[in-house]
Amino acid sequence: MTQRTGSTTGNVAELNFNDVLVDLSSYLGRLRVNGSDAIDLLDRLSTNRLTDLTAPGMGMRSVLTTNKGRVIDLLGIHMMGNGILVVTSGAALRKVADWIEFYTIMEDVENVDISGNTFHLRLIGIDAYKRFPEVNNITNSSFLEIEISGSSCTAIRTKVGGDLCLDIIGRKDDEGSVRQILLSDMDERSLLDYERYRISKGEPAFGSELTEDFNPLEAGLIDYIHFNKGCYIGQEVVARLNTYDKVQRKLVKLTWQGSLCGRNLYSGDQSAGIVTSMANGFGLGFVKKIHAEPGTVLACGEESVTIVELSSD
Amino acid sequence: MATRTTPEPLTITISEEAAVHVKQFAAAEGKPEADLRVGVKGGGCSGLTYVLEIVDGGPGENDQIVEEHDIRLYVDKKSYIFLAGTVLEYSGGLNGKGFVFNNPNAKTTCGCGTSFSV
Repeated sequence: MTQRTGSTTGNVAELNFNDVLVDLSSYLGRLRVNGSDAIDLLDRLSTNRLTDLTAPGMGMRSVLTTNKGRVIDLLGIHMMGNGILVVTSGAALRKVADWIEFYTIMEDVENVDISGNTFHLRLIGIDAYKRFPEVNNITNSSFLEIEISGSSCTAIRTKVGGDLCLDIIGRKDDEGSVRQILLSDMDERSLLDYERYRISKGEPAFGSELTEDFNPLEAGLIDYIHFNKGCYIGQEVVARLNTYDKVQRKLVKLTWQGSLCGRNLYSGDQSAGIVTSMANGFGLGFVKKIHAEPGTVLACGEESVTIVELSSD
Repeated sequence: MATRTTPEPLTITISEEAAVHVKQFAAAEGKPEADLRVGVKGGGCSGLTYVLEIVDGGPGENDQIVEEHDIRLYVDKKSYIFLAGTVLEYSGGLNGKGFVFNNPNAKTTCGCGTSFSV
């Protein structure tokens, strides 16, 4: 039987980064998608209404889904002056590029992997953000072209959990000088630190929460789904899940005291879910909706695991 | 004794009724001599979506051309892979009116019938 004894606050095990830089150049991938049909094709392949991106500087996130409505990857789509910048998960880059290429049939579309020629730095926290006041007035996923140390960079407004972040993308040749300026009064954190941070913020990642085992509604990606946009691959399944309230599982944050030996979660002898990301004493997982109430205690081997509410923003 | 037969190459065909309706649509668009482009584009619920278009500019460089019932169908080579063996028909039944692709390559189709997967 499910117990309810744990903490229900959303701030348990939440790491707070402020004014720090993380190098995401390998953690994320970057594709340039060119051609007159590029936005139309991406719109027909993913969940958000990308045809609303009508001018350079605009951007939004959209989920690439299979025809069974399962997650391939969460993309950042950004309208540049001369094509579209698609930010993928690093490990999903090839899969995303192949997917776009497979579905390019009659269309004027070409995609080019620019990951090796570019760097991608994420500045985290409100103080880091204040360095570039010009990006205050743009919406999430939109961007501005800015200059850092004489180098032209793309600055994309983004969020991790509820934290404001700024992604700086530029030419690989300019990385040294840009880093030097930014790190003169800002700390750098490793990818390992970032992994703990994003888990603490409830941010899903490719290979853990963003896999074909889950659909975008289970993974908490509803903000990136447009339900009136028309057809895209997987649309019928995603729309049906939402309309008939058929989503079975929910992404939740988890905490525990010791160390977990295994990933399967149980309520009594009933399977209740699975842990998908682990840090020291906290993690993320998918649990059946009946067990997703904050404070619910489940078992993972000998350990008790408590459901914690994800941050609302 | 076993006999060997040479299989006919897979092609795209159009039914007589569908051809009549294509001509009617072309005439309504003021292009009575126009031809029909048939193709496939990425997207749609199941992955691939059919394309039907009245065109009057002649075939493209890489188009396959099919002539039947006084209609010329243009199919680009990449679409042809997904459409080989398809019969384009016209349905005027109570369940919906319009062109129907009977495509032997389609493993699944979406509810509205405009997209398919292979």
